[in-house]
Amino acid sequence: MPNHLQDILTDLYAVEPTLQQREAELVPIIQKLLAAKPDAQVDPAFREKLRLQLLQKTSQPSTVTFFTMRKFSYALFAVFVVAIAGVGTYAVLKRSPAAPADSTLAHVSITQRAAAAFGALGTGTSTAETAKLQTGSTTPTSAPAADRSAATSLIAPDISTLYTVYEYVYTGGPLTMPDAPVLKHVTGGLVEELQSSILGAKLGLLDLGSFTNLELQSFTMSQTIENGYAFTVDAVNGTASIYTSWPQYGDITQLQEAGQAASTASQTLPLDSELIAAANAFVADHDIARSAYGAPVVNKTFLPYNATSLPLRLGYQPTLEVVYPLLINDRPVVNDNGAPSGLSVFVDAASKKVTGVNNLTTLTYEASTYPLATDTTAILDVLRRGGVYGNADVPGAKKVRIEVGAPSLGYLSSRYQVDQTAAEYLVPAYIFPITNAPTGEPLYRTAVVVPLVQQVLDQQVKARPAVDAALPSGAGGSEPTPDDAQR
Amino acid sequence: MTPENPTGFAEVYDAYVQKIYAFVYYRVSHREIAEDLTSTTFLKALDKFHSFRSGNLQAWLYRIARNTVTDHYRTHRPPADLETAQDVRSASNPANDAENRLQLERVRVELDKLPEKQRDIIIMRVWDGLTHAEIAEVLGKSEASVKMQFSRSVRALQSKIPLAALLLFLTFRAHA
Repeated sequence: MPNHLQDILTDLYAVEPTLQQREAELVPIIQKLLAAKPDAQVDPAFREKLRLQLLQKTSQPSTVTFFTMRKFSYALFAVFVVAIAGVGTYAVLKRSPAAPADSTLAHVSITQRAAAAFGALGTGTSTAETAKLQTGSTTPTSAPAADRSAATSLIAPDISTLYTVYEYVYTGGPLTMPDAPVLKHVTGGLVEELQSSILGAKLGLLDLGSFTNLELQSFTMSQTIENGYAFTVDAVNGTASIYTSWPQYGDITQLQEAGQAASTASQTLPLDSELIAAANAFVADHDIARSAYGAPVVNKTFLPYNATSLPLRLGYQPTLEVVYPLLINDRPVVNDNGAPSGLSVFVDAASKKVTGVNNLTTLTYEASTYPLATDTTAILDVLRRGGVYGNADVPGAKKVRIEVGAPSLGYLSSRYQVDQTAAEYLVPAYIFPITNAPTGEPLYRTAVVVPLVQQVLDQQVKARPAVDAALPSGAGGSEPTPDDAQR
Repeated sequence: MTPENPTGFAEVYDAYVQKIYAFVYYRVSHREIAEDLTSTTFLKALDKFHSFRSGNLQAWLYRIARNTVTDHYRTHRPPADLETAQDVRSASNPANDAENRLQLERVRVELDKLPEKQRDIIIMRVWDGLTHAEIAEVLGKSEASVKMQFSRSVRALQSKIPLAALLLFLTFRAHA
C-alpha cells in the first residue's frame, strides 16, 4: 500500500504541483479510496468464451462480423445443420442456397500457442485406457488379449503358458527425429449464434430468454419415416452423429427376425469396394464435409489378420466401419491401435445400407510445442511391446516376432484430462507399419503407434512395471529389467 | 507474432483482453455492455489484423475499442448511470460505497461537461494508465498536445469538483 500511495501522490503532483501543500489531507483519502478499488477484471468465463469465438472465426474465410452473424443466425442454423448432419432436416428447415457443400466448420484450423501451453499431458485417461477400464481384463483365451497385457484378474497360476506375447521388431533404417507440435482440439462454440436465437425466442409457453446463463448443449432430430435416420448435435463437444432411428415398439419382432436372418446369412465379408461405395454415396448425398479427410478405408481391426468371413454374432446385423482418415498437414491421425481415426461411416454388411456416421466434428485446433523424445532406444522399446498400452513382459510366455518397417509421422488421438477438463489431443507419433505378419496368429492390427512427446512416452514406459507387478508371485512374475532397476 | 501471421492473433488477444475490457468498462460502467463491446472490439481487430502493418499494437487496439464505445453511445442510450457501477464497488462497506457513488456521480457530471477529446485524455491517462505518447497515438495527436490538454483538463476539474471527489476520480485506477 505505501508504494502505491507514493505512486499516486507522485502522479498527482506531476499533474498539479499545488496539491503537494495538502498532502496531510490527501493521504487518508487516498488510502480509503484504494481500499475501495473497483474490480474491472475480465470474467474468466467470458474471456475463454470470446477466445473460442475468435478461434472459430479464424477458421472461416469470410469476415462476417459478430453482430452481422447475429442477424442471420437463423440462416446459419440451417447452414450448420445441413453442413454437419445433412440429413433429415427437410421437413423443418430449407437447405440454404448459400450453404457450402463443404462447410468452413470442417476445415482444419490451427492456432499457435506458447510452448507447453496445455499443461502436463499423459497423466489423464486416454481412449484406450477408458476402454480397458470399462471392459475389465480379458480372459486368456480371448484372442485380442494376446495383444494386450491383461494379467491383473487372472486366477490360473501358470499364466505364462496361456499367453502369446508379440514382439514388434524394427527393421527400418535410422530414425530421424521430427519436429511437430501437440494439437488440442478446440470444441464448443459451434452453436452460439443458434443459441442466441433460440434463447431469444418466446415459445408460446415461456420466455426462454428470461433465464440467465442458459446454454444450448445438444439437440436431436429424427426423420419421421420408416427406416429413417436421426442425428444428435453435441454443441459442447462440437460433434454430431447420425444413426438409424429405432423402429416403433410394435416392430420389435420384425427387428429380431431381421437380426437373426442377417446373423446367419451375412457372414461373408463384403468387398471393401462395396462398403466404400455405399459410404461415399451417403456422404455425397448428404453433403457431409470430407475435404479434410483422406481416402476411405475399411476398419478391420476387429477381425483377425487376413480374415475372409465375419464372426457369427446372433441378435443383430453386423456392420462394418468405413473410416475417412483425418489428415492434419497431410499427416494421418490414428488411434492407439494404429488404425486411422477420422470420420466414420457404418455400413450394414448384408444390405450395404449406411446405418450411422460418427465423429462428425469441427476441426479447430490449438498448437503448442512440447519436448519430443530423442532417445531412439526408448522409442524402439515402446514399439517392441506394441506401442500405446502394449504388452507386459511375461517371462515364459510364447513370443511371436513381428517385423515393422520405417515409420511415418502422424498424430495419435488421445483424450487427457488436464486441469479437470478433458479434451482430445493430437500427439505427434510414429506409425510403424507391420511388414511381416505371422500366419495363424490372431493379430488385430496393421500398424503400431508410438507417441513422441517425451512426457507421454514416459507414461508408456512407466505403465509396464505396474502391470508386471500385478502378476501372481511365483507364477511367472517378471524379473526386473535393467530399466526397472534404474527406477 | 506478426500481423502477417493470423495465428498470432490469439497471442494478441491473450495479451490485451484484460486491458481492453477495463478500457471499455471504465467508459460504460456496466459489465455486460463492457463484455459485448470487448467482443466487438476484438472481432473488428481480427477482421483488420491482416492490414495492421506497423506501429503500436496496443494503441491500435485502444483506437478500435474507443471507436466501438463511441459507436455504442451513438446508437444506444446515454452512458449507464453510476447506479449500475455499484456492482464493481466493494461490497464490504456499503456506507463507503454509497458515499463513493455520490462523489463519482459528481465527477461524472463535471467530466461530461468537458469536450470529448479532453475527457478521453483524462480517462486514458488516469484510468487506463496509458502514457502520453500512447494516448497521442490513439488520438492521432502530438504528445505535447496531449500533455497540455491533460493539464488543462485536470485544472478545470479541480476548480469544479471537491477534493475528495477529484481524488476518487484520479485514483480510480488500477494501482494493484
